[in-house]
Amino acid sequence: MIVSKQERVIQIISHIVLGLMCVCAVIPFWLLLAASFSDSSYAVAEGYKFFPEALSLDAYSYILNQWAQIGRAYGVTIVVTIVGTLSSLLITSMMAYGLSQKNLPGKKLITVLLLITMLFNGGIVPQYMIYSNYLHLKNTLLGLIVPNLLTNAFTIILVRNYFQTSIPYELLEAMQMDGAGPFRIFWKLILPLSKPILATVGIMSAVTYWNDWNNGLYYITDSKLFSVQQLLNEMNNNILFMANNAGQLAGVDVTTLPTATMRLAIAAVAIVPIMIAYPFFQKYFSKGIVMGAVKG
Amino acid sequence: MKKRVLSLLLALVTLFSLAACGPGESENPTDTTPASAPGGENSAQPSADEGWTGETAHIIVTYNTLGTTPPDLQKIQDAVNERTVKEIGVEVEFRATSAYDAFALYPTWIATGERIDLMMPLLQDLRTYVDQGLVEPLDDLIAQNAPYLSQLIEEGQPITSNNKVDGVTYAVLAVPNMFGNNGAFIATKALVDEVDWNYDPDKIYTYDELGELFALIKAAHPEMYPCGVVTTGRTSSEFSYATTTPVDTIAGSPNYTGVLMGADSTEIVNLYETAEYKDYLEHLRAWNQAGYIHPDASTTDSSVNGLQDAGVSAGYFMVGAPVQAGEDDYIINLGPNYIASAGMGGWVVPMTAEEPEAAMRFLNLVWKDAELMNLIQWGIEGEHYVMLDESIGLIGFPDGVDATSSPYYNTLGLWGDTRYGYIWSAAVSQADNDAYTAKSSKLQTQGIGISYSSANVTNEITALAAVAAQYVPALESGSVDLDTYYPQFIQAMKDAGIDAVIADKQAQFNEQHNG
Repeated sequence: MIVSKQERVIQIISHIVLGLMCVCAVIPFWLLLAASFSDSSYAVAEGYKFFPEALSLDAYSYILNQWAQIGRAYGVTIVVTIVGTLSSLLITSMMAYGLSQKNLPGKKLITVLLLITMLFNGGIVPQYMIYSNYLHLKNTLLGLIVPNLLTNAFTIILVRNYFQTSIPYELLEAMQMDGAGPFRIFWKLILPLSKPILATVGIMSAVTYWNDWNNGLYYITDSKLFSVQQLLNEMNNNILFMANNAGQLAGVDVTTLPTATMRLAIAAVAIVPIMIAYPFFQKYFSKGIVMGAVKG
Repeated sequence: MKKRVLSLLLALVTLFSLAACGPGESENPTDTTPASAPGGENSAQPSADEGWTGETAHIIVTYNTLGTTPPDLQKIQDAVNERTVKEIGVEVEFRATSAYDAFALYPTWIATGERIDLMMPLLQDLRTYVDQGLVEPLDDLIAQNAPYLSQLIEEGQPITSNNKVDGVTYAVLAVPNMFGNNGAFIATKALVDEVDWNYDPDKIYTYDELGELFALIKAAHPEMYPCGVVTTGRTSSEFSYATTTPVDTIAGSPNYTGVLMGADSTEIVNLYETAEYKDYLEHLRAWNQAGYIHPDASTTDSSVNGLQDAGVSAGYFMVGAPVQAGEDDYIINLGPNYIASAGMGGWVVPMTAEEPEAAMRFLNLVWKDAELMNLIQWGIEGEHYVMLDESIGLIGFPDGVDATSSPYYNTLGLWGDTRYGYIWSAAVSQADNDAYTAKSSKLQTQGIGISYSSANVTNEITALAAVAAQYVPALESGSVDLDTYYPQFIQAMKDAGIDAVIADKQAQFNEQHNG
């Protein structure tokens, strides 16, 4: 391939720019890992260093010690992420499939209703009341799965556009001619052909589920159902509470509370799985978004 | 038409999102105080149980944690029930929540009708609970179901005296093992001894003398910041930890709402405008410039203990009570011992309780029976602790268990008669606590027995809280220039309405003080 000089310059510049952005993304992770492996007193005395001189595995042995709680939280996060992502994909793709059909009655109305949810919502109080008092999602795993995260209009439209633009309508017609019903078409034709967009939407949803602590804050008070992120949030809040009320809470042994390095270690352990999952989805990532984003 | 519907929608959305921004105000009560010092011996022996013949009642009791629920809580619950079912016909179910979450959760629980029979809103504002009608009055319940609590109240133990609103009791507090307060600096023994500073536990030191200690330690260890201060997350002054004179914020109200300075004072003043506070700030500023204060004091997420343990600081300002110092610490007194009015708080019976009588019987038994109290507090003997010295109640970890691996440790002491609680360090015996109480009882502020309701000036107080949160962390870490920022701070407080709050507080004080 012949590359002109100009193109080469552009390529070099973009490499530099992207390289810098990459460094910006990697540095905090490195600092997180380095800090989680530093000795606790060293970290307090010297601050967090990129290359700590005093290393220690105390933070990770703390995690093992507290595995009863942290492991449980981990399990909750994994279950919620898997169940949440799969149901989210199913709901999103089925709705998108319906909306992509040309002959759907009331298609305009449904689309408008969908768009309204992107612009308005009832706010947190009515939301809380509906979920906790009427749907009774409080202190259930569904409380972590359903509110806000299950699906949203943006992804539905993204997936619908993909269906409309990337899957030739003729294929659908051909299958119909052969006597396939809508469900058969959906399972046998649409889904297999939509891997890129489903992978994209799937990873986005998985990351949101994995990182979410908001739902936990509102709907979960039973510590058995805490997710990892919520557990971390809890720890931070309680340590701050403790520090601010030290005079009143005399006699509490503050040395048993997780130190900053321990919390960082939990954070490190918490991101690893989702980071590992990323590369597997990446090959679909850009492809899916670009194709779905084309106006249809 | 479309537009009108839309604007209506918008208006509704705005309304709801505004309604969602309820303030999560937290109170900062000062230490507990008695009307009189705790009296003589109480029999803490378990009563010869007559056994319970009626029906067994199931009660739900909150259990405050610091974020992690002890793994063995269920075991403790079973052990408690083994006794309470037989003796008082009560089966207890602990509902664990972190003390921090409780601020938001408890009121929501009661408001949404969730059943709780006994609740401990730790360090929360009891008055809001009372004002919103979330808790039941306790006077009759105590009189009918809790003979031992009634006896304690008659003896003058302040378990309910601070928890009255308009003469009605709303909460029961644990019996404190110590009363009083004084400004002090908790310092690492080894460092003080090393620099040959004459430490005298009975002397009251000045800030300048403390500064000399810092200078000596800094000279010996140039890499250290002897004066440990952490102002991250600080929302109001911690002057009371370092005070040179008795300060009373009146019934635990925030210190930016006006205080009494000095034991004889009957005048509410703005703490931040007093000469004592200004002097404190000037010293902090000087210490910061001399390099005695950690440069990250206002941003670090370490605690003052963390800094001390890591050898970064030599100690920190804290109430000079025996319980605050470890075996390796000296308490350097900066002010006299005194007793100020106590904040409200304690165990309440929410409106959503279904078995309030059973809840009272349970409180009564735990307060009466030191063994049961220690079971809830420290766990099962032999499993979670072993007795080291029966005469002073000294306990330690069993073999192979330590603070981090113990499945039941570090619970908050919120139960029963804490004078009979077991201790983990011989340095903090009940004898030390009694000595501290005796010393403090000699100097009592005029605010004792007085309560304050800020209902008339809530807007001003919200504004003042914001001002304090904005200026105090910078000023009290000594990291900003006083000449510029201190006058700004005082002016901002005036603009926020401190004068109206003080006038309101003074009026309530006068009424109760003379009446």
